[in-house]
Amino acid sequence: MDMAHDVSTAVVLPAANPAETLAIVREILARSAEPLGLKAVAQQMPAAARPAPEPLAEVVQEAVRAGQLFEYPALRGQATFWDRAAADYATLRLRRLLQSGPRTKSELLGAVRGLKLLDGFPKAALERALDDLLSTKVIQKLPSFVGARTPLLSLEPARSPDYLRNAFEKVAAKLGLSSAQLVNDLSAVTRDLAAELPESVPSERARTVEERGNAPLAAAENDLPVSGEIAADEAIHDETIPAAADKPGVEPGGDLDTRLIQGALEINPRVAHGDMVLVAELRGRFDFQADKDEFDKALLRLAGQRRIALHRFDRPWLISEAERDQLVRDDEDYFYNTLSFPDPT
Amino acid sequence: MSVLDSPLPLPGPKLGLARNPFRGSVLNDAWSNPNLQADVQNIHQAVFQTCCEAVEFVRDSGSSAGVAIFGEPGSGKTHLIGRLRRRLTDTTVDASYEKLSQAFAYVRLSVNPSSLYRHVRKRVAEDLLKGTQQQPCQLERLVLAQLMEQEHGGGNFREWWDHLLDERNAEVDELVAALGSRIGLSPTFCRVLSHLVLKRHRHDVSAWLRGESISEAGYQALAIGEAPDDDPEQVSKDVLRDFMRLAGPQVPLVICFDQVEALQVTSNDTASLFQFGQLVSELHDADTNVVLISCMQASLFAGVGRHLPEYAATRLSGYAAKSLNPLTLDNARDLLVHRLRACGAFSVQTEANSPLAPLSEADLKKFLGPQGCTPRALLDSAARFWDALQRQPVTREDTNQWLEREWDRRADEATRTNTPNQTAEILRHGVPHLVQLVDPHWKLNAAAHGSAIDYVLTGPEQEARVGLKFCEAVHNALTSQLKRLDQEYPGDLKLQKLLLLRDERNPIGATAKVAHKHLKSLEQKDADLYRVPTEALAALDALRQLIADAQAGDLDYEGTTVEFDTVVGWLRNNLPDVLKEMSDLLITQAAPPPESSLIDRLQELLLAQRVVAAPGMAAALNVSLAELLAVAERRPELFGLIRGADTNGSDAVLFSARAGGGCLAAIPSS
Repeated sequence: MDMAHDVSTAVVLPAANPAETLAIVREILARSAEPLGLKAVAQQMPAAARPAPEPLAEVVQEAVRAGQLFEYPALRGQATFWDRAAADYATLRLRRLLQSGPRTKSELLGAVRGLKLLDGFPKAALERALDDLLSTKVIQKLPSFVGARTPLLSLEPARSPDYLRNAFEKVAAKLGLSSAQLVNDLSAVTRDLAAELPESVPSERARTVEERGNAPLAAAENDLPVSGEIAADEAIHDETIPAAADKPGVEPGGDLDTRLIQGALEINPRVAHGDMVLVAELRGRFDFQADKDEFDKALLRLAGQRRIALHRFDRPWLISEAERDQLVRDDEDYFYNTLSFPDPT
Repeated sequence: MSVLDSPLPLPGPKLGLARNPFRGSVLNDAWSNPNLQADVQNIHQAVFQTCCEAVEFVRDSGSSAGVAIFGEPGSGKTHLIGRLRRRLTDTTVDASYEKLSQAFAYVRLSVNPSSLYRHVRKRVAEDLLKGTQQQPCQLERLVLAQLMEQEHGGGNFREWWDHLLDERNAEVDELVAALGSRIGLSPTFCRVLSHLVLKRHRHDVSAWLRGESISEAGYQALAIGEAPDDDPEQVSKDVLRDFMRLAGPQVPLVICFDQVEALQVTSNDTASLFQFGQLVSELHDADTNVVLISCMQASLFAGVGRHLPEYAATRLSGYAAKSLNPLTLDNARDLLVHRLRACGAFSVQTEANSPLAPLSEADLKKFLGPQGCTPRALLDSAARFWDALQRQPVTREDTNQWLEREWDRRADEATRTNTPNQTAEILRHGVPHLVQLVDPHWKLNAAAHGSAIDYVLTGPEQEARVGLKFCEAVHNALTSQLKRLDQEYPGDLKLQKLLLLRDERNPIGATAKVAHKHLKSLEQKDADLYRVPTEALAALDALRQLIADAQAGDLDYEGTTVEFDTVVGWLRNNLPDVLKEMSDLLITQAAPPPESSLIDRLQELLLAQRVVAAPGMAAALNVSLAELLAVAERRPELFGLIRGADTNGSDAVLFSARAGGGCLAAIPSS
């Protein structure tokens, strides 16, 4: 498949009959992160295939009747449509709200219920959507913040900085201190705590690196079941980078190789457990930090060291030159479009 | 420079082995049983382990799970599923009499997305029905386990089973009906299961479960109503749901999808990926005991992110997404050593005191290359090295020659194995590829959900709008299809032309008077019935399979993946005449050959009379004797013709070639 092919070019058709119009509408809605009004849909259609408003509305309403599209409450007086049912939209919004950090269940449900596009969506169905996310471990239940009793819901495992920040805000409020004052005090406390650590005991991170050698993804050795995979991501971030920097010939402290591995993990934390990352996406993240040649050489070097695995793209002539430029090309003119991390051994 | 372009190694001593141990790496089906010694367990072991864990997760958590596996062509996706199949299904005779821990089905997605559910139902049913005369199939074991639990039967599974069949035979219908009520199975499904348990009407049972058409007598034997004219996709969806319910929450149903990319009609077809996402989402949510393992090329990875809605992507890879990485040095060494051992190259190894001999570690590293390589590429490098050591002349065909040979092989295979049961699937999948091949400017789209037709074919300048209907139904279903078409064509369907396609081996019987009436009415409105010849179906089958394998990167010519575009180009230049004729009908709306209705009537009469004198048959059909004999001679796959002494054929005898030995046996030996 032409992986770098843009959808808008993929759906261009010479003229619009209802079936083709519907196919284009569905593509547009599938790409959209939100339900769209018909005007917005029409704007995204290729000009040659764009029907007049009325036929477009007919096609869409027919698809709604056939169960292929779903109608949502009107926004600014205009009916909105999506290719997914309201339950899916609710699920999406639940996840999206949690991307900004943990929330309590009532905060979360309250925020979603307030959405105009979910007007009339039953409360029980919303709770069921949340239960599904919890049972499939997409959302996790975390311990409550210090001094609170309500458990938190989050996409990520519990992260101590979230808890520290919350405690920090509570202490500031309780003592009536400014943030600046409290930060000074906190620095002093941190220094004291560090001094109390026995020097002979190596840090957890150093011990892990020593035990696991130089493999960049040593943490993945413990290929945890999925429920634990995300929980391990945090540890992998910590462990990967020093391990990579320990490699001979690599400048320690933020060299490109290390940053590339870190960048891949940031794009898709599941890459540590066997998932993939698009080279083009990683390249986009390193715009202005590394030129193409430098970037390609770094990835090929990492692959040669077996710290990442590069996957060949076998149809480079099917994509434009600009798209091809996004891939990594080796000396033998093979193109690579995705990368993953080596299997744990 | 690739290692394959480097000068061949200096010829060494002859190794005395007839077969190159490194040739032959493509596995076309997870059920094929390659030499187990050649399966290297530690290749992709982590991915394999994840799949096994997903099965346990579903069993323990009561929640369905999706695993997506991405790999380059040749990375071993089908080998991995084969290993999983061996792990998850029993391999010993005795084990077949244990309760199933999980059920397993393998689905290659060489299908048009418009009939995805029908295809999945068929493949799942086929795999659940796999068994031998002596061994029960997976489906029987699922039913028996449920019945045993329902009857609180303890102890030995096999003894209980024997007891049920020997002592309580008469109660089976009632027990299965009670099971259906308890776990929510459809009554028809239950009725068919009863026949399965009692080993009655095996042919019709398996045809019904696979979603194939069965005869009127078959429906009567199974004591079920003829399939209503419902949406066939919905019917298949319901049967799949019944399979899941029958398995029960403790027995995961593992469905492995292979060649996801073969769903695409063109290389930038994104709608098919969207439809696959819908399928996965709906199966995932249909019950709590499904494990969906989807294998696809790494190049499709971007498509998953871009073209699948989030809910579908979550279900596709919610449990895990795994890549099949290039081989490590250890994996590569193990693979080559296993191959050497499997072909018995021990003596050579002993002499050189190295398990890799006659290869060296340096050779191995060279084959593997700086980035590592896939198992297929490694084996190809090793195979060429071996040929050079054996002083085999390297007579490498060009790709076109190889494709020609491959086409012949596949066409022969398709001709040999083709049955009318495959016709609907072949047409639905093959026709869009044929149109795309012959004239990519023509668009063939699946008709809207619930439409009376299957596809709409539109010309590049909108100059034609042709409806296609694959008429494979029989009896009442056929009549109601034709009636609906007659009512809706051309006005409601907004078509300029309607083409009905039907396997010529399925004549519409003379007794189907209402069907004929509607057919005639349709023909008066300029619709055509094209009776698709058997050789066209076989060629179309070969074509679609070749294209699907090319899409999936599974066409391997000496370790090199033969590209999709190469295959398409070759097919364009070498399309068999029978497919050219078919594409003319579709695209230029040439009229079907006039003799096709004569063929239909002749078949109909021969089915009733078996062997007839040619002059009598000509009179019955109201054609000249010469015309009748010419048709029979042109279609030897349908008609047998024995000529006597008279060159005009007045003493010729006709019989149905389809009746085969049974028909000839009816001729007195004298």
